Formats: sequence, C-alpha cells, structure tokens
Amino acid sequence: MLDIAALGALANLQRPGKPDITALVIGLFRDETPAAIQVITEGVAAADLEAVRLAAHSVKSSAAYVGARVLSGACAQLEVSARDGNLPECVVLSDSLESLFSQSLSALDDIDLKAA
Amino acid sequence: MDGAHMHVELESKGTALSSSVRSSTAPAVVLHVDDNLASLAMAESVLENAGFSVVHASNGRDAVARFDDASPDVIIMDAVMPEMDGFEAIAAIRKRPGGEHVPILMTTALDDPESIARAYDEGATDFLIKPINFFVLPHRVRYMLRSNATADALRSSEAKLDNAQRIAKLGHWEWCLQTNDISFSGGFVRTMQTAPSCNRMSWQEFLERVADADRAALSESVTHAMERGGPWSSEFTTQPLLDRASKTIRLEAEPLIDQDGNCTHMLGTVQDISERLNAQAQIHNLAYYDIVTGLPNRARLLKSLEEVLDRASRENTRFAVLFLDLDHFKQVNDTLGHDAGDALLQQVAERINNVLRDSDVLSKSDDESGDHTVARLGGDEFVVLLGSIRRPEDSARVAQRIAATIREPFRLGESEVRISTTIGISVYPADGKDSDALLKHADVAMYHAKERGRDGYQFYSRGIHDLALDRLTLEKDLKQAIASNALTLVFQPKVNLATGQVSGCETLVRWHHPERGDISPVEFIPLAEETGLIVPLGQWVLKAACEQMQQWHAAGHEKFSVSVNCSAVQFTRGNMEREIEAALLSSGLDASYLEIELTESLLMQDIDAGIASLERMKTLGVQVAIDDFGTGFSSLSYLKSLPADKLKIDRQFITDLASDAGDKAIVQAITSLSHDLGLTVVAEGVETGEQLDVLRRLECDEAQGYLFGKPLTADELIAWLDQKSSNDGHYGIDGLDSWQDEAA
Repeated sequence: MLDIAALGALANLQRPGKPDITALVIGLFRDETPAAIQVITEGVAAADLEAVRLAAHSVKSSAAYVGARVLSGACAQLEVSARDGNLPECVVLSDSLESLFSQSLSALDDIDLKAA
Repeated sequence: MDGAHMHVELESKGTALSSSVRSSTAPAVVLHVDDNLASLAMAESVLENAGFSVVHASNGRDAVARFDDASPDVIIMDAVMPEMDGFEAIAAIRKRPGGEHVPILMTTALDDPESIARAYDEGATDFLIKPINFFVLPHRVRYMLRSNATADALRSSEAKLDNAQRIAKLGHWEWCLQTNDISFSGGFVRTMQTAPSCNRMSWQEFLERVADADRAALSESVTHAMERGGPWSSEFTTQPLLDRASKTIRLEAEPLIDQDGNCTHMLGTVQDISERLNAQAQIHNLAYYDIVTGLPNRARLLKSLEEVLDRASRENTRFAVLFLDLDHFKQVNDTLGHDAGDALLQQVAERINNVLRDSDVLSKSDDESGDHTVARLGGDEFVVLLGSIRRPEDSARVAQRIAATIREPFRLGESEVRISTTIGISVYPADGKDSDALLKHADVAMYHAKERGRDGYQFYSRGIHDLALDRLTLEKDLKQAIASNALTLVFQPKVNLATGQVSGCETLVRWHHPERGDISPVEFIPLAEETGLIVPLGQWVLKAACEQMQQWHAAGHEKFSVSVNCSAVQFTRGNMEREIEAALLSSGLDASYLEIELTESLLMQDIDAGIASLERMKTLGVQVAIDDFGTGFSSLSYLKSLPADKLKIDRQFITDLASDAGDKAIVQAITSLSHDLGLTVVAEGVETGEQLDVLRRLECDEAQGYLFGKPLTADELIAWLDQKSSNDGHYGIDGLDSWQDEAA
C-alpha cells in the first residue's frame, strides 16, 4: 500500500530550521484528497469526465508524493479512462477510491507513529 | 549549489537583451506553476536549498501574472491545471515582453506523448517526467539557466553585430562557389534592399540588385579576383526599386582559397556609402556655390576663370569679365530686412542668368553657353564671366541688357523695389593676362562707372570703351536708319548677252549716315548680321525692291526682274518664304519678276534643309539664283537636285578670264553643265570687253558688272534705261555694243 522509499525521498527534502516537509505534504494529502474524491464521484455520476480527469490527475500526484502507490496508480488509470471517455471503467475505478484513500491514511498513520 | 557557481551563471546572463537585469548577487528566480500544493512545497524546498528564489503560481492565468511582476529567470510549468493549462500559459508568456527567450521546463506524465509534443510546439524549452524527481530538479534548472545564458550571449553578440552593421549601413555575405549560394546578414538585406523574407540568393540574383550600368564591371571584378586571389573592392549603384531611390554601394571582398589553390568561397561586405557621397557633394557645393543665390562663389569663379584663361591663351581668343555692383542694395536690406535682401539677390541672379541665356550676341559668338559664368562674390557684388566674345562691344551689349533688366522693378512680397547696377568690364588680353588683374581691373572700371553716375557700364581701358561705344552708337543709328527709311537702294543692271536687253537688276543697299557720310556695306552688313538687325534690314530691302519694281512696271517701263540677296540669318530662320510672300503681296509685284540670291556656302551648311527651303520659295513663283558659285565646297552631285534657276559665277573666275586658261576652263565647264541641267548662267564682275568676248563665246547667258553699268539709284537707272531705249535698244553699253557690232 505504501512506498517507503517515496517517503524517504520526501524526508530528504527537509531543510534544517524549516517546517516539517513530510508532515506538510502528508497533511495536504490528508486534507485535500477527500474533496478531490468527491469531485470524482460527482463527476462520474454526472458523466462530467473532464472534471473526473483533472481531479484524478491531482490525486495521482499527491498520492505518489506520499508513497500511496496503489491509490496513485488507480488515479492514473482513472485519468486515462476519463480522457478516453470510458465511463463504465471510470465508475468501477472511482468506486475503489474512498477505500484506497482510507487504507493509505492508515498506513501513513502507522509510519507517522513509528517516526514519532 | 554553492554561491560562486551561481554568481558566474548570472553574470554571463547580464546582456543587453535581458529585459530584467538582476543584480549579480541576487539568486535566480524560479517560477513554479502547479495546482498541486504538495508538488509546490517539495520543489520549493529543494530549489531554495540549492540557492534559488522560488515564486509560485497555481494555474496558467496566475503564472502569466506572476511572470510579469516577478520576472523569473526560469519557469517550471505543469501541463494539466484548472483555469488555464500549461500549454496556453507558455504561449501567452512567449508573447510577453522578455518572455520570448525565458527557459520553460514543462512537467508532464510519461504516458502522455501528445502533451510532450505539444509542449515543444508551444515553446517549452524542455520537459520533466512526472512524478518529479526532486533531487534532479535543481540540476535541470541550473542546466537550463546555463544554456540560456549561452544562447543569450549568442543573441546578444548577433544583436551587437546587427546593430553595428545597421549603424555602419553595412552587411556581410558569403558566397559558396560550389553551390552558387550566397548567405548574408540582416544588414545585407537592408543595404541591398533585398526582400526581408529571402535569406539566400544566387550570384545572378545578387547581380539583379546591381544597376544595369554597373553590372558588367562588377562581374569582371569578381572573375578577376577569383583568378588572382587577394582582397578586392568595387563600387556600384543599386538597381532602383519602385518605391526607393538607388544607393551607392561599396563592396569589399576576399576569396577563400583551399589547399589546392582553388577559390571555394567569396566572403565580403556591402556598405551603403550614399550619404557619404551626398555629404561630399554637399561640401563641394558649400565650397563652390553661394548659399543665397545658388550661383558659383568666388572660389568657383576663379576656377572657371583659370579654365577660360587657359583656353583663350591657347586659342588666342578674347573674353570679358563684368564686375557688377547693385546700387542702393543696402537701403533695401536696411528698410525691408535681410530676408527681402536675400530674395532680391536671388531675383537679380535669375535675371542676369536670363540675359546670358537669351543673348544672341553670345550664343552666336559661341555655341557653348556654358562658357559664361555668373558668380556672386558676396554682398551685392556679382561677376559675369563671358568666356568667349568676338569684340569688346559684345560685352558692352550684355552689360547694357543686364543694366536694363536690373532697372525693371522687383517685387518683394508686398513691396516693389527699384534698383540699378553699375558694371565694370575688363577684356582679355588687353586689360590683363591673369585672373587677378582682370578681376581687379573690372572692379576699378566699376568704380569709375560709379563716379560717372550709377546705372551704367565702363570698360577698364579708355580705348576699348570708346571703340565699343562707337560700334554701339553705329548699331543704334543703323536700327534708326532702317526704321526711318533712311537707307537707300541701288540697282546694278544685268544684261542678256544674246539679245543685249537688260534682263534684270541686282538690288544693293546703301547707308548715308547723317554725320559720318556714306558707310560701306562691308562695315554695316556684318554689324547687322551680328546684332540681328539683318532681319529687319533684309525685310526692308525686300519690300522696298518689290515696291520699286512694281512702281516701274506700273509706270510702263520695260519689265525685267529684280534680285535681292538673302542673308544667312534670314535663311536659317526658315521663314524667308513668308517674308517674300508678304513683300509680294504688299507691293503687288508679279512673283516671276522677283529673284532671290543665295550664296552657295549658305546652302551647303545644311543641304537638305536648303533644298526644302528653296522648294518652298519656288512654289511662290519667284526665281532662285545661286550666288558666288564656285567659291564654296559645292558638291556637284547636289547641283542637279537644287531647285534653282540660275547660277552666278563668282567674279574671281571672271577677272582673269581673258588670260587664264584655267579660269576659262572652269567657266566653260560651269556653263556647259548648267545648260545641261537647264540652268541660266550669269557672270559677275564683268569689267572688260575681252572678258565679255570670252563669255559670249562660252555661251554664257547673262552678265553684270561695271562694263554694263555700276549700281545706280532708282532715278539714275530710269534715266539710263530711257536713254538707251531711244538708242535702238542697245542701252549704249560700250562693251555690249562692240560685241553686238562684232556679232553683226
């Protein structure tokens, strides 16, 4: 579920005396992803695939940065399906997002706890 | 990133082209555009750590705004963003001032090849695969800055070269002989006025931009340079274009020779030197011409004077220097102002030039009116150089005309101004043999003229002055004599040698001057010809002769013809037949009794025009005689096409006719030839019985001369005719009587 190397890379960006970059990026992931997933769910329901594509693109990157590999991969697939206009595929993929997100958060919490 | 490296990179960026010149110690600014906040945060962290200053934008529209106020040195641009995507943003930034060359790194997913292609199309400098490897990012950014600095330096160098070429009106070109392809700079396009869209041409196309007249010479130079090697140069004019004037171009070139000694390329420059040439011409103008009037100035006058002196001394001719000073010019300047004064000087210059242009005295004395120069020495002083004159009075006439034209009122704006001019004249060689003396003496003469009262002219030399005055007085008197019918006609009879009857008489003009007595035609006819008075004089003679003859006819005298001489001026004016027609009409004389005499040399000046003119006279019904036959360089082949009735054999063949076998042969030949051509032959200057005897035997038709009678006045001629008609029709001519006696 989680790519530890990605988190390691993120931690390496940390500069002394500056806010915790890992916490910042994970925080952004945690705070902004639910809204994006909601845009995707509503977009699929309304068959607005352009909205789906943009939101999936966004989650794809955010997830990748925190090492949420599975979620990022699902969003990448969703982005392609949305671009290709494949609504049934989008329905299937979007249905899994909520669950993938919460799994990713749990995994991050574990890591956080370990780090703490 | 250590500070030293960054320092170097930023300094090399500092060119004239950079719209935002940053202090060399400030960090380079990165504009990062991404809608993903995590991405922005991570990139910021790594970039700031590497020494860059980072500015964020969350979409394309925001990016364009930040570009304007942050002037970034490099841009990292995400492709997919809300509001305005990265592609549109790049296109917009490229159009902003300073946005043309800023390096832009586009971040895009590897699974989207179309986006990569589109990114480059829109003007992205490079792309970075997402997810971004943040450790590589600063290196990529640094690399882009470095390569952009190099490109900037190149652009700056090119711009400097282009600016230098533009300022120098210069262009460079390189001609590959193998491909016949000429590549060239923007300066070349400007200099040669070639199409801006065209950046290559062949040598033939290059030559098309060269004016027709210069093309062959340039081709020759280039061929020569290829054979000989070494630098060469040439000057030419460009072929004029519809909307632009042609330029003068200086071309400098050098062949490139390979190791086998073959010329492979020709390298060169073209430079527009029109302005330099114009400036030179202007400097020349300033140096040699007066700004106010445009006339030659003193320096130019002296040059002309030297040229004229040179020729006059070589060809032994005369010329005159007229020194003019405007009377009362200062008053005009003082009362009406300097602008009015300048305008007056311009009008004076124009009037003097008009006099020279219209002066038949000068054009007759010399066909090249360019020999005459009007110069302004400064102030109100002018000099007229008459480069060629026949007699001093010619210059006096010009002086009179100039004085007369200056006397006419001048209009200066609302004012009318009257001035006059005083003129001093010096004549080469009598009054001086060099420019200084001639100018000084003309000046002195001008002062003498002023002392004697303004508005006149004065020769430097008293003798010349008196002589010229005398001739001018005579001219005036002759004019008066013609106008007042004070001239008289005399008539010299011509006799038909077969019948002994008077066949006609030649009209001659006499002038009895009220003070000087009889003045010889040898003196006043040339004067009339020189002054143009020959025209009214000729008209008067023609009219008076016709009237006299008609009067005799009306009075019942025996009818014979009257002949009148036609002068060169009358003939070449080309309207002689109209004057004849007018004289015949007003007198009522039958045209067949009028004979026009023209000299052979006059006809030979322009034989075709002469024949045409004779044809026109013949249609009026008058007789035409060729005078002085045998003295000119007559072409016998023309004789048969001349529409003449008579040939008058010149007296020089008659004088020794009795003793000189050669003269006799000539007269015989002329007579025989004339008869074959149906022409009547008249012998002139017959004075002795022996001459008459020979003429009779040679079957000459008519004769005139003292043997038969000297020129007689009208009354004398009538008395003579009356006396002779009572004497058996033999007119009591001794020679003729004796001849007739012999014939009987």
